[in-house]
Amino acid sequence: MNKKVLIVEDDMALFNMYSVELKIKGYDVLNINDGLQALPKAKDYQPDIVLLDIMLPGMNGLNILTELKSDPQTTEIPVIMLTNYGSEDNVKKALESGAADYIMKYKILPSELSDKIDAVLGTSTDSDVKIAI
Amino acid sequence: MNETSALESYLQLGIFLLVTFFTFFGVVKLLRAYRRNKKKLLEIGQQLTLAKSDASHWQSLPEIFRRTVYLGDLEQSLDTISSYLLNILDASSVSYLIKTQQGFSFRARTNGNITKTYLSKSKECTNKAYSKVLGKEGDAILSEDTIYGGQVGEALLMENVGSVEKPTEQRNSGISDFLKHVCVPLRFGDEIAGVLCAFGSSDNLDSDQNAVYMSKILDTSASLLTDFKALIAKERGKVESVLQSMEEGVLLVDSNYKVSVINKTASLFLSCQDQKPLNISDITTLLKGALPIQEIVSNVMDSGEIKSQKRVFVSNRYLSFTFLPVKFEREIIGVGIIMRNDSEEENLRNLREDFTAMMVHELRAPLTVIRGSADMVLKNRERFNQQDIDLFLNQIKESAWGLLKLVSDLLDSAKIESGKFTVNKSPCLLNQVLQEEAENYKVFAESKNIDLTLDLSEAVPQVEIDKEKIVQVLNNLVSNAVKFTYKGEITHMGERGFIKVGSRLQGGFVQVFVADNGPGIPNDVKKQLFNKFVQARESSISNESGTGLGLVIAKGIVEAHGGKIWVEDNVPKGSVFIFTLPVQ
Repeated sequence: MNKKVLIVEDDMALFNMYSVELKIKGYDVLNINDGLQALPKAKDYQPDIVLLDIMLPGMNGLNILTELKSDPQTTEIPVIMLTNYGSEDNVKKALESGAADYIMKYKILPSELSDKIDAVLGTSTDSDVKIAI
Repeated sequence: MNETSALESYLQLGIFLLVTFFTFFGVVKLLRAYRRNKKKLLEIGQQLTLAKSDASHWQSLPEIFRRTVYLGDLEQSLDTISSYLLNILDASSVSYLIKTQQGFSFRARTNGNITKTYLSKSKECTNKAYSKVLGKEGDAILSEDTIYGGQVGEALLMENVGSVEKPTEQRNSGISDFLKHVCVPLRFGDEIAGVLCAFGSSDNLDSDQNAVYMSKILDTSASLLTDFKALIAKERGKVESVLQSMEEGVLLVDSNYKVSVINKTASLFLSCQDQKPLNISDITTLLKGALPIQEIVSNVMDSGEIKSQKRVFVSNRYLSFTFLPVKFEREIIGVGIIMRNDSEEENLRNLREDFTAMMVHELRAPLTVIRGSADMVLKNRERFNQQDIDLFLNQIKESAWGLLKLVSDLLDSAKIESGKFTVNKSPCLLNQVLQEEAENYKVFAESKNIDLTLDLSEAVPQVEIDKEKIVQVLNNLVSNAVKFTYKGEITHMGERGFIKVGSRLQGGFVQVFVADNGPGIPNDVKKQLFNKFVQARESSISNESGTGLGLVIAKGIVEAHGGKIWVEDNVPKGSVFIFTLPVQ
């Protein structure tokens, strides 16, 4: 059973990068570009992790984060905030509101993002781990 | 920011130096005038023989005049002259009576004790002298025209009776002191403003020479004062017009803490257009405790240092105050207060920050896509098929193109702002252009469930336009219309959105319009729509992507053609963007 990732991002080009990368890594990916759909879809889809953009058309990702964390059906799901413009205020607010991490999109390559997700979900497929016999 | 404030302080200091310079300049002119007069006086003096002729007396004359001019005040000048004359002439007392704004002012100076009788006698004599002076058309009176008999003119009302100096020597003054007198009129131009009298008992008091001497001194003083006041008024007039047109509020508080200058803007800022403040405590009241102004002003008055205070909230405005010491010959004669309206600057600063933030975002987004997409292809060369590679290469291409357009927009915006934006006009059939572009627009609109129709008027003639740039304007208006109509509730509810693009001839101009049935635009937003900085703020608040420069540039393009662009409400809902182009 593949782990599920819900990506709430309105930039299709970014979504393509992330979703292709995550699919290669063996995840199932669902995209939402409308923030209003985030909570209902999350409850329905029950992803193992949510990637949430802060700047969505007409709404603030931080509000969606609060929604997700306050709803019992989704509160356990780790959320990683994504943004291209982060102020210290926002970072603090996000982490205080329960985000698992806060990532600057322009600093991270898709492969690095998928590594982070692996780490959060504990699904590291690193075959470098050698067991001494 | 610090640089700007320093610049402002220098500017304000400059203004004040200008004011004091004009004042000082007038004085300098005057001092030059009396230097010429002094020469004449010296000549006269040398011809006269005085009982107490002393070289030093002549040397004090320039100082007298200098003081006169410096004081700029008639009464104080006459005081100075009186005490001087008392020393140099062999008189028991010197008095004067002059017409002032408040009435008549009388002062007497004497070396002896003053009794009530003496004072009233002095007043009486001076009074009579004044009448005579008026009656005799200003000739100096000698004691042949006796006080105790003969014709006496009408008594004049005595108000504002002045004080009498305390004597330095103990001597009982008596009626005999009024046996002799010399009285000369004080003339300002053609008008006789008063009289100066010297009373005494010595024989040569009432000589012709003394009369001439006194006349000369008085006339010179009077003319110096008149010139001085005229010059001040003239120079002040120049400065006044500058002051009143300034956007900064300017106040001048003199060394007595009275308000001597207050310009229109200052009255506006302090909300006292009807009632001008007279002194510093009036200003304190008007400021309603926003600033300890009395403290600061006295501090500046004492220390001579410039002080400033930013972000003072007064009558719904953010003002910055600067306090400047006003010096005249190394003496501080007042404090200038300059008030600047900082509210706009605050606003602008906030908007500029928002604009920068928005720019950062707009640049990072496509660059993230470019870098990430390239990395994906590089890392997955084995795994990817042609389609996968194409997907990412196209993303790179699109993002790069978007960045290039952004650069062009920024450049255009900068050119428009600096007035260097140009258009290359050539004759063009406008309706044809609209029809061609509409084909593309239709496809785009359809994809968003929006109908796009054309409404072109045949009356529209050929126009001279920069086709590429006008198409740019159209693209922007149509894409906005699509964006906002698409997001409007109507499409969510399943209704069709519509956009109409059209042309017509109206009032000698060609009008092009783009109408939609989207949610419309509130009135306060309408005004700001074409403003670069405000667009930025709206962008960041609503988390829209895009620089918001499109409309700003559209405006620049249209205006470069000699036209106008604006937005109206569409009926029953939505917006109509209209721009005009001049007909050949």
